[in-house]
Amino acid sequence: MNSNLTIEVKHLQVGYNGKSTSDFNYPEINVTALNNELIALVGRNGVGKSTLLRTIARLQKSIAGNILINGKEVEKTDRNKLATLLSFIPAEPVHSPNTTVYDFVSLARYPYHSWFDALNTSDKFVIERALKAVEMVSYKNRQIDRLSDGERQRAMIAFAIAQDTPIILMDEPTAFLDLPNKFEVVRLLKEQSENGKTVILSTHDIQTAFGFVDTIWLMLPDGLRVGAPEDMVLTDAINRLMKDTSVKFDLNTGQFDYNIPKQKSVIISGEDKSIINWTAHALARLGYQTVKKVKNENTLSVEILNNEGKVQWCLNEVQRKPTFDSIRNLCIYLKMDYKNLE
Amino acid sequence: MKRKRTPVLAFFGIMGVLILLLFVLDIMLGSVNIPFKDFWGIIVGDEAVSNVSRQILIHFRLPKVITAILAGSALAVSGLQMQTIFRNPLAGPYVLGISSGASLGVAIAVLGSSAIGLGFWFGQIGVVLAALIGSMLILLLIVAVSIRIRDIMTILILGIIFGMATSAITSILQYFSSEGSLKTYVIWTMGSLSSVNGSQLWLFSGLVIIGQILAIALSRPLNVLSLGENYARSLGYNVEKIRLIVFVSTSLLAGTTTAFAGPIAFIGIAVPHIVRLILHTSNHAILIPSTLVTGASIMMLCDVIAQLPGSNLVLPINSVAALMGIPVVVYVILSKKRFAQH
Amino acid sequence: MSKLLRSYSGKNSLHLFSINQIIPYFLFALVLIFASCKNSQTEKSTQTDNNIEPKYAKGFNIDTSNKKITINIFNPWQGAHEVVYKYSLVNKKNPDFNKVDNPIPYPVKRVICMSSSHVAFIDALGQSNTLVGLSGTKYVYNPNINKEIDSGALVDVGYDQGLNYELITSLKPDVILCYGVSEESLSYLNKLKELGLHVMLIGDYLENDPLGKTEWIKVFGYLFGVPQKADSIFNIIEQKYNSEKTIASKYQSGPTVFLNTPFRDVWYFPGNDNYFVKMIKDAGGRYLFSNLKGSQSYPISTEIAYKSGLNADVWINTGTAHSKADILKFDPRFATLAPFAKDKIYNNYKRMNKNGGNDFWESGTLNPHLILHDLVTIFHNVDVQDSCLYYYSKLK
Repeated sequence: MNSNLTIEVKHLQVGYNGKSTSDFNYPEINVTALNNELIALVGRNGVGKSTLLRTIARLQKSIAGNILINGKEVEKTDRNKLATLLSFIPAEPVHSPNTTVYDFVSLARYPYHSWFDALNTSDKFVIERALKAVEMVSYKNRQIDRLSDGERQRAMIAFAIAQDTPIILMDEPTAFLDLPNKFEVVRLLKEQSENGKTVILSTHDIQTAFGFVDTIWLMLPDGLRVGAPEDMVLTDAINRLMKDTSVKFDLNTGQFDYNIPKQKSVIISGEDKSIINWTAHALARLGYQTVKKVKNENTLSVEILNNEGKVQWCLNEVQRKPTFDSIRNLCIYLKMDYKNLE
Repeated sequence: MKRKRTPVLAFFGIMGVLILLLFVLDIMLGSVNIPFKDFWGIIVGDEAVSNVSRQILIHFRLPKVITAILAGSALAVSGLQMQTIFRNPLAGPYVLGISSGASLGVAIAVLGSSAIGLGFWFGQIGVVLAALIGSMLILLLIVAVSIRIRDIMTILILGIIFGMATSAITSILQYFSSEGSLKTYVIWTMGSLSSVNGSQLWLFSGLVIIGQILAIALSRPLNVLSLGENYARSLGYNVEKIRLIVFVSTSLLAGTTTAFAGPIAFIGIAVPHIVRLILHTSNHAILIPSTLVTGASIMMLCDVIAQLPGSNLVLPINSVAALMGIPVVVYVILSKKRFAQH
Repeated sequence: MSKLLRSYSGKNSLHLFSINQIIPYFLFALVLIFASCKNSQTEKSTQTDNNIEPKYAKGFNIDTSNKKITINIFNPWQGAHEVVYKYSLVNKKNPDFNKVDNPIPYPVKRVICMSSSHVAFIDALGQSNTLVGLSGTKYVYNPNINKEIDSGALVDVGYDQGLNYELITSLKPDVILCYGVSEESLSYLNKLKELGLHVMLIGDYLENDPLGKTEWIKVFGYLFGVPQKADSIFNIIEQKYNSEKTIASKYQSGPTVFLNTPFRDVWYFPGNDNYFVKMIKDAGGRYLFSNLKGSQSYPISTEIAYKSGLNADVWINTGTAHSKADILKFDPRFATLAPFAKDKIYNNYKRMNKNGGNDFWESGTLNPHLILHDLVTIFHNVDVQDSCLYYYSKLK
């Protein structure tokens, strides 16, 4: 048995086994998590990401199967003991009037104390360390209700850090954040995993997670797929996620693109590779496939000129050679021209 | 953004002085004019104090002030508990229907005997017991519900519905009862601090003290619950169990107070807000004792006003408490709205 | 004269709530002001011969002029101000029956009563067989009336909001004798009138003189066509009452008298003009709250009441408390009151039926001399035997 193994999920069935018609049952799950592992639990809205996380955190009961943490069954672990092994941060932004960031984070130390004894110096050290880890030390006397969404999410991560558990589960930590904050949150969690923790975050936003996480648990309607992000690409699992949408994951660019049919072709010439790539990217949106050789008489030829640091795009047409100073203008011209041809 | 916190020690120092001051004031003021000399004489054990002064101070004023302290602190603390557990600033000690239960008990005792035609006569202690039984029955109902239902909002709504149902039964009894017993009932609903005495006072203070001890013991779970149930669960707390203890504590506090002093509204909602406005904290280890002393002093203040010093008349304590509490509640509603607009 | 200014006929005064209906009457009243000013001045001297003006009561007079009997009832509820109801006693077969104000079939043969004190009057006049319906039959103490109830000749018609209108209609009463607590409480009278029934307001309980209450027997005397009998009963009671009063006045100093029990922490004490306060004075007692004016009751704080009661000589009318233990159940602090220690607490509960119906409230109106006798006995004797008392009993 792998000594790094922290979470083992065996034959787990999650869902709601109610009497109502809205029964929800997810196929059996078998998965493991290691320490040092940053895992993104990815899936479409409503597939059951929260349910799985909450079941692992013992916030709700499983229908069948086992969850082992460090080899011990969660169901049989003392609640208080579990709170020192696993922290769970819910999706909804924390709301508590008259509570400072410090007050909030210090509550994470409760599992280490009885109902009466006060926080000691080692607690205070852990709290300070957690605040430092999320760069919130200067915010510690701020009211939690008056933080921005990004600051609040960082405070919530600090809470998980202060709880000082080998496992951190975060439900949708990036949901309410703008792009820079999303990356920041994932970066902070990555740091935690690098410190030896197992971190699982659920998200419906695969793009943010893609470049950072070690492992993706992909919740498809027919079952959970596990692998590195790249495995997901190569096995086409990731496109299964995009089922019923017009978006496809582009194996070459590593990006999601609208599935636009490319019937026209273009040759791009120039020296700077990145400018060529981005030009191709833009033209792909207009339905042009970048080719090496002339395919037919309609194949477009774009030449990238570099006039003393000033980049220009030159269109090699039969009669004339229009030149543009931005990709945008090039695209505008092509769109107009395209219409004129029709 | 930063709010300066009032130092807790200073707060308790000032409250200590205030309580002492109000205690003396409440004992000194009343319909019967008692010279300060007599008051002092009783404290130092002077035998020459007139019998009237001695009787009134010891048998009327002292029990009344103690009742004010018990009732004020009990209602305020149970109000705080309800606001935390329902995470609703407008919750109060009576949201669970405790006062309606007590009212039904009293209605059956006072009105039922005339409506059904039972000739027996309930003394004051009979009314107290009826109210206690009524509020405890509602508690049992709420506990039974909260064991089955996890959703706290459903419990809240059921509490309100139970309240409505008991009020409906009370109305039926009112409809069929004689004028005399109707008046007894209506006067009971107006509340009174001066009808508790002798052995009743021991019972009253005993039950309230048990409720207060439970409340203080619950301060840590309440801190966690104020963040939401997910946090509480993931920190290893058994939310259902805590809720149950909170309900028991609240019914001991609010139920007994209603039984002995009648339903006194608004103190329970307003006092926790006053304390929060002063101390700007959400730490129940501070909030509960502060609410306790503030509730006690505000109730004494209400009683001083209700005595209409210098007149033969006494205002119903319920009305005075409402007039004191409503402005605070209005302020809370308006300031919530202002926060929401931010 | 001023009574006439605002007088409405009984029929209409019940519609006072509606502004639309008031306006025409108001205008009509304005016209009447001038007309009646002259009339009343000229007619007054001629009418007095035929007017029965009561000696003590203020709530009625009876006009027997022109071979007609009209009973005028004044201010028949608490807080009523210059309200007059005119009831005309007319033979049912008289063709003018429906042309007069508030006709009452004369003499009445079938009666429904809303108050037990009315029952006492009716029984005293020997007319208990005319009673067909009563509000609260189980509280009746009078043995004659109870016989009627047991035989089924007299049924319970419910009370207040719970009146059984269908039953009342089926009883075909000639008159329903009612009382009003407040203007608002009179709404049921409208309902009864809509059913075509004859309703009469009796205001005996509003009288501030003990004999004034009793004097209402004269109204009943006319209703049943036995005015002489009513007069003679009243005269005997008046004489007995006054002789009892004379006996009391011979005692040098009376005891201080403490009254009632509190509603929680509020104690209601009647003002100086209240009939019972007058009886306390007539019996030679000194009422502890004689500084309270008027006839209404005042809420007094327990402290003040306690302070007064602390050194009182006698404590009477303890309401629902029927023993010293009851009083302690109410509030153990009362044990320190002097009457408690000296065993001088009396309550008017001696004559009660098994359902709690108290004869004090039923026949007491008719028998103020017996109440006064009890009070005199209690006030001026050290040791009172229960057998010497009619309504009262000592609390043990």
